[in-house]
Order: sequence, then C-alpha cells, then structure tokens
Amino acid sequence: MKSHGKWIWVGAALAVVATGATWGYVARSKYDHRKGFPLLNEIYATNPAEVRDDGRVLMGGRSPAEYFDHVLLLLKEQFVDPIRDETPLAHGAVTSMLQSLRDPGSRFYTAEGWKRHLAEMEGEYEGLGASMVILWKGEDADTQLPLTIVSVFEGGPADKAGIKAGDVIEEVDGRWVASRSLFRELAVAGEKRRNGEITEEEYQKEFERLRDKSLNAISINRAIEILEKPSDEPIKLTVMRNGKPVKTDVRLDSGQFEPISKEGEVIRIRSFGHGVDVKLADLIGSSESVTIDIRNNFGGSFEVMERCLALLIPKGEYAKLLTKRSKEPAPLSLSTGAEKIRQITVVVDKGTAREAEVFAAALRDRAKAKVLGGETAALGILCDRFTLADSSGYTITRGRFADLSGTLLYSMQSDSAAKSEDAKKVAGGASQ
Amino acid sequence: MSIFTKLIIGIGLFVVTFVGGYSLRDIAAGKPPELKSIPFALGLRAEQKSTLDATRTFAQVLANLELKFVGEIDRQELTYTAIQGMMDALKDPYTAIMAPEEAKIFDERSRGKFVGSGGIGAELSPDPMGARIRRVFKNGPAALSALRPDDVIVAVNGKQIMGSEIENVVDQIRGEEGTTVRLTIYRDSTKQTFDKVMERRKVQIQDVYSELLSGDYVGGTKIGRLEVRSFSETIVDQFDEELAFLEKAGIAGLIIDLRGNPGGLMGAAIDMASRFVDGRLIVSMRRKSGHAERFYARSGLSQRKAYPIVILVDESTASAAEIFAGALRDYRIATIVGEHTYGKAAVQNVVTLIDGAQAKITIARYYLPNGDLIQRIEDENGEYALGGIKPAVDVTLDRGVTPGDPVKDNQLRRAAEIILDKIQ
Repeated sequence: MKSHGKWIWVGAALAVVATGATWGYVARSKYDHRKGFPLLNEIYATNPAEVRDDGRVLMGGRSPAEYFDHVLLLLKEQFVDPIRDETPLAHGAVTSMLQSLRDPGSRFYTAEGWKRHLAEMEGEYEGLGASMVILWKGEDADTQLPLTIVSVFEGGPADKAGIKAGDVIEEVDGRWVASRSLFRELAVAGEKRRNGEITEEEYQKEFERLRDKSLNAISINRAIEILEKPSDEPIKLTVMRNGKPVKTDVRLDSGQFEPISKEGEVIRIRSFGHGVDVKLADLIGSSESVTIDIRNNFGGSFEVMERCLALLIPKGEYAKLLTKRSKEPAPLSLSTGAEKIRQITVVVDKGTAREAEVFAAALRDRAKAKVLGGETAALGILCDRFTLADSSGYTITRGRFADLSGTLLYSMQSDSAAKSEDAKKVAGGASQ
Repeated sequence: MSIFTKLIIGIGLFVVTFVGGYSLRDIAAGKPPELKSIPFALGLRAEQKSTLDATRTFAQVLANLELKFVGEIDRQELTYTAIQGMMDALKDPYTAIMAPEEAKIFDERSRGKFVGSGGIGAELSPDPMGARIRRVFKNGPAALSALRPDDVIVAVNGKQIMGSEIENVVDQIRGEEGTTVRLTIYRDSTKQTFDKVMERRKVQIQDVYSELLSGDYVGGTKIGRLEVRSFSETIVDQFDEELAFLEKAGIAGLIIDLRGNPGGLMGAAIDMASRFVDGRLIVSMRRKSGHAERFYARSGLSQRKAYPIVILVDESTASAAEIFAGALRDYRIATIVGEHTYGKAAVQNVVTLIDGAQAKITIARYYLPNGDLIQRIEDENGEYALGGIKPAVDVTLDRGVTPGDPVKDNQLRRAAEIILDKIQ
C-alpha cells in the first residue's frame, strides 16, 4: 500500500515535469510571436536554399538567414569584444545590402535619420536643406558615385547659398568627397601633355593636385552624415555645376517650409506631405484655371500625390509603373477623378523629382496641362518605406514611373549632357 | 513527508522544468537562454523592445527586396554583403568575410599556386596613383627594363590599378615564370608615362638589408643600418648574418629600420627580440574571456650590445614589427625614432564556412611588455587619431623623400645624430 502511494507521487512528479517543460516551450514560442517575429526556423525557411540552373548549390544548402545567423553566432562566440547589442550589427548589414544595389532610392536610415526623412516631406529639415541621392554611373574601375542635389528646399541653407538642383557635391569642408577614380583625370592631363597642350610643369602640378585630393578625402557616407546635421560653424562646400566648381559657405541648421501654399494666383506645392491634398482642394476652390508650381518638389507620399491628382484629372489610367514583376510598365489608375477639367499650368524645374514628376506628366497627359520650365530631375522612382523596431528605417525602390506613352521618367545619369534618349523628361516635349 | 513538503517540491519541479522547456530551443541553437523574457511570456510585463535582432532584420530586408525591389538581386551576393556590413559595424578592419571564390584564390596564393613562381623583381609600396616601386632587385626583370625606385606603376596589362590594394596589384603583376606582363609606368622625374613589357622570372626575396651609413652627417663614425622588410620565417637567420657583417665592420651604433614593415609572423618577431632580451615577456595576448597568453623571449640567445641602438618606425610599421619595437623600447634597449606606428594589435582566427567561404575574426589583442595596448583608433573621418607606438623622438619624413636615401632621408639623419650624441 505504501509503495503504491509512492508510485502515485512519482507519477505526479513526472506529470509536473512534463507539463512544466511543455508549457515552458510553448511560452517561449509565444514570446517570439508576440515580439512580432516568426520563429527562427520559420525565418530560415522564408528564403530557401538556392540551387542555380547549373545545379550548383549555393551557401552549402543553407538558407541565407541560416547562413547569416551562423556567422553571427561565430562572431558572438569569438570576436574579441563582447557583443551585447545586435542593433549596430543589424544596421551594418542593412546598410551594405542596400548600398550594394547601386540604386538611388534604396537606403538605410538610423533612427535619427529616419525621423528626419519622414519629417522632410512634412516640411521640416535639418542640415543642408536639400534632398540628396547617390547616383551610380559606370562599372568597376570607372564607377562614379556623385552625391547629387535632387531638390533644394525654399529658404533653407542650400537655397540661401545658391546651391541648385543637379549640383554634385565635390568637397565638404575642404575635403574631397571620394566619388570616383581620379585616374581618368590624370590620363586626360597626360594626353594633353603629349599633345603639347600643357607644359610639363602644368602636368606636374595637376599630378600633385590629384594626389593631394585623393589623400585628403572623406567617404560619401561621411559627407551625407555631415550634411544632414546642423553645424555651429558655416562649412565650406564645393559643388560641380555644368562641369565647373562653385564654392560656397553654408551654415547647416534646421528649419521649416510649408508643403503647400498659395502665392498670388500660383499654388506652390513643395512636397506631397500629409494633408496637402486637403489643402489643395481648398486652394483650388471653384477657380476655372489653376497654376501649380512644383519646382524643387522632391516628392513625398505617393498616396497624397494620387489624391491631389484626383482633384485635377479624370479617373482612369494616368501613368505607368515599371516594377520587377512587369516586363512592360503596368498602368497606374485613379478610381475617382475630377468631374470637370480646368485649365492647368504646371511649372517644373530640374529639382522636380520622384512623385512630382509623375504628377506633372499626368497633368500633361490627362488634363492637357501646359508644362513650363524645362527638364525635370529624371528621378521618377517610387520607394517603399519600412520602419524597424528600433525606429530606424529603410527605403526600397519598388518601381520606376513612366508617362502614359510608356516613356520612363527615370535615368541613371545625372548630368543632362549625358542623358540617354529613352529617358526623356516630362517637360521635354511640352515646355514652351 | 507532509503533503505541504510534497507540494513545495512539486512547485519547485514545475518551475525548474518550465524554465528548462523555455530555454530548450535557445540552448539547442547554442545561445544563452533568454530568461529575462520569462516574465513577459507569463504576461507579467510588457517588454519594450528598441533593439534589433540581426538575423531577423536581415531576413526581413532580404524578403522585402525579393518581393519589391525593382531590379535584379543576387541572394548569395547580398548575404555575403550583409555579413560584411555586420562585421564592419564591429569597427575592426581585420574582421571580414571572403566569398568562396575569393577564399579559394587567397588560399592558393598563400600556398604559392596561384601567383606562380615569377615576378618582376621589385618591391612595391602603396601610392595614391597606383603602386610605387620602392626597390629594384639586382638583375631582376624590372632592373633589366631600367625601372627605378619611385617609378609609379599606374596600370598592369592595360588595366588601371589606382585604388587597388597593394596585394591585388602584386597578384596581377606576378604569374608563371616565363610569361610576360606589361606595366604602364609614370616617372616623376621626367614626367613621362611609358609602357614596359617584361618576362616574369623567379625572384629571391631578401627581407634584411644592411649598410654602413654614408651621409656626410656621420663624419668618420661607422653607423650600421639594418633594414628589416618583414617578419618572415627566415628572418632571424638573415638578421644574424647581416648584423654579424656590420659588427665585423666595427659599428659604433646601429639603426634598425622598420619603416614600411607590415609585420608577419609573431614568432619571428619574438625570436628576433630574443637576440636582445633574455627570457623576458615580449607580448601577451588577451581574449574576450580575459584569458591571457604570454609569450617570452628565448633564453641564452641574447647579447648585451656595447653600442647604442635606434629603431626607425613610421605609420606603415605594423603588427609583428610593433611587437619587436615595443619590446626593445620597454626594456630600454633601443630609442624609437620617426613617426607613430600603425597600431595593429589584433590577432585573427580564420573559420572556413560550410560553402568554402572564410570568416576572418579578430579573437584577441596583444599587449606590449609594459601593458600598452597599441590598438589604432580612428576618428569619424577614418583617419588616425590614437594608437601605435609613439616614438621618443618625433621626426616626419620630408615630402618626396624615399626612406633610406643616404642624403635626403631626414629621419635617418636624425637617428644617426642621436647615436652620435650617445657615443660622445
């Protein structure tokens, strides 16, 4: 009887053990899910191991995440300094992934930078007061990565210093922004010397100049970091404009602009920030003709831009979007549109970029708007924004805009002289 | 046992097994269990998470790119790129990943297969425009093609090399014996750029050079200069031989020139230090765990030198060369002259991954006998801020001067003056 009682207790103990362990395991899984993340092995499965067409198994048959995790573990075990927080490692990984795409719209932002990025389209900025991108040109040894001004914010430091859309940042505080190989320049000088266009002395001077330049350089990322923060002292900036250097002093600070306002008869849209569509509806009112100035408009929210369009053009297709999935540009359409079409004039410039470019193209194609002002930036890209758990974020280029006729509003080249024929600007044909 | 005791035991068992079950997957994955999350799992506390999980973030971004990005992506390439980015965040320039193809080339190069046996018989140093010839070996192809020190190689076989690592340039120049290579040379003195085609030949690399200083500034005093180019396996024998030669010539002072010496085998540095230091600590290596390994000079090989010794260093003096210089400084055997050294105090482990890629990870740092960590620290612009060995006498090399130039080398002149001061 006594031993029988003992077995009951042993059984009870086993039951306790089994329940405890199971609950523990389940609780752990729940914890992972509650954090908003799938389990690690589910993550491993999101990107299965890859087998190439030639039968080659990549990464030892591991999925990218599993492979990555393995190296992370090695670092945690072996690296000389303890790794307490993975956040910087995650930032580093995302930064270099996105940068390796060589795409002007795909970029990682720290928490601070992300806040700034999101605030920008609402009219708040810090630093230079301009929207910048790295444009990629060429391959390998001759690759150039000019840090290019897309749009200049009205009344901001860049605007005051006379910096223009399309300028390329060459020097920050006297230091060259390392953006290309200098060999080509040396070769050009060498050629000139051979042809007797310059003297030995001049060639020697050029050689020394290029050497000093390469020795006194900062990385593009560092340049961006400097230019996106306020500075106590004015900094010296050299930009290249039409192939010539222009020097200026800029005091980097923080400031604001109004995303939309009305000046006289002209409605000025500086960015497609939150609520711009509502304000636009007010400003248009019942007027028969509207003039919209979108010079130096660097885009903003795609949805807001579409809602603005819906006030001005009839519903239906207004432009196209080239994405990974579509070989041909897929239509972009509005489900609602304006009942009556007004007489519209739209003013653009080289600083009209991204959503603003497709906006202008749609007005031209669907409302017979008169487009004034020449070429736009040819940076008609649509970016998706993703916010990470630590409030940092990143953008990925999802598509490239084309107008109704299918002409891309995008080209990889920055200086207009080098622009290819298939990348015609919105206003190219319609300007007067 | 009372029912009460049994209940306590029961509860205890439950808690223990719950924790066990909870941590099971973490332990299986080789990670410390996330115990701090238990209260959250039990619903006791809502956890504020403001940090990122590296792997999850990577997987999320990769998935988004595959789904959304307008262009083509290469998952494998992106994985290596992401890993390199993660390693960059550790702010240690020696922790890096090499993709399988790259690792294979690297391996073959170390085993001498890839580069073949032929070279041009010249020693190169980095230059903003390409690679600068530092030294031309006697009777080598470069010498026969009339190349001179200070010529700058700007292209190899027509391919521009500006911005390439010096190791890559050397790889491009080297090849099988008997094959040819075309170099585009810029000559500073004549401002000419010209091409030279030369046949690759077997090259004997000499790591130690000796000479008696010939500049006017030494007067009639015999001062020897021993230039040690790198710490290779045979360095100690070469060193002994050349030093014996100088001592036989009756030198009154010795300059050990470590400028441009990138290091090499730590063992070779310790062996060489054993010629001056007897049985004492040369370097200690510390891992993350705090575990320190100490390396001592060998006993019975050292000889007290009757003449003063100066060690010349510059910013390219690194690693094993810094260990050697640091030991001789700390035991007051030599005076350090020149510019601060590079500051490489990192020891790497190379791990071969499942697909043949290699991860190079810094696993330890070394400390000089006096406890100094010479780890280089760079500022936000990536330029030298701190670290390395600080010379007792600071001398910057004059612009446009080649180290070792008997007349113009002002660092060498200063080193000789210090020796002359000491023997008076």
